Amino acid sequence: MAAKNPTEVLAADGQQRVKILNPTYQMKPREGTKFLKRDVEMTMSAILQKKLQDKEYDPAEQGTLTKELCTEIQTAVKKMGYDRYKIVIQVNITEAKGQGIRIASRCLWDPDQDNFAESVFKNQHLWCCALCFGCYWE
Amino acid sequence: MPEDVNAELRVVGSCIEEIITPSLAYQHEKVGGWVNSVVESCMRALTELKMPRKYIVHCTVLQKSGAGLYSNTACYWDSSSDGYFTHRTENSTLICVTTVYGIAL
Repeated sequence: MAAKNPTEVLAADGQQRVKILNPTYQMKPREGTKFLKRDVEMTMSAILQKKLQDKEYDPAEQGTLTKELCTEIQTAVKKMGYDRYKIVIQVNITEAKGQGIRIASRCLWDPDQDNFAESVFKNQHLWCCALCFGCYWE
Repeated sequence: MPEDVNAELRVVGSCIEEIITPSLAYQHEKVGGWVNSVVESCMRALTELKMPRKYIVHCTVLQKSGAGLYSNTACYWDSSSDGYFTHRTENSTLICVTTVYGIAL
């Protein structure tokens, strides 16, 4: 993990100062900041339930709906305080028309620190799958 | 998005084209195996590139039945070093969308 280069910052008194960040030698997430699958799953299920309950599949608005879901889930997971984690959220919504769908992922990461959470919501008109991957940034 | 993703694009494209061929017909019992082979072969090929990155390979296979699919991604990362690309292939019975996320260490 390299030390950050010196950067120029503008201080409160208007003077340019040089800020040098030292390496923290931190290899693992701090106590209480590890990505917890169960908590993130509960958060995502609550958001999906709230936004998609009784929704019908409308091709015109699904684009904006998926964007809103992504943004909401991202904001909620950021607020959960997983320090130094990079978050990737993916939301898939498809119409429930009796077709088959199969979704799979494989990850090349550190299984001690990185994890993912998934949540599926289904009603009679649509089917939604939300995934959240958390990768620790050393 | 980092600039040097051409190698990853190439290897992932060739892995997927080998498994999801134009003549493949959607079969419910077999699709699990196909999706697993796609993600595993892509992951193996990406590992051999030995880049200093963590990867997430995500594949969706959807049967063509007139239903629509919307997919969206939101990422909280450093956009100068991390990125993703999507490879889409389809034939007459199915659509296969594969997304690869690369996160720098």
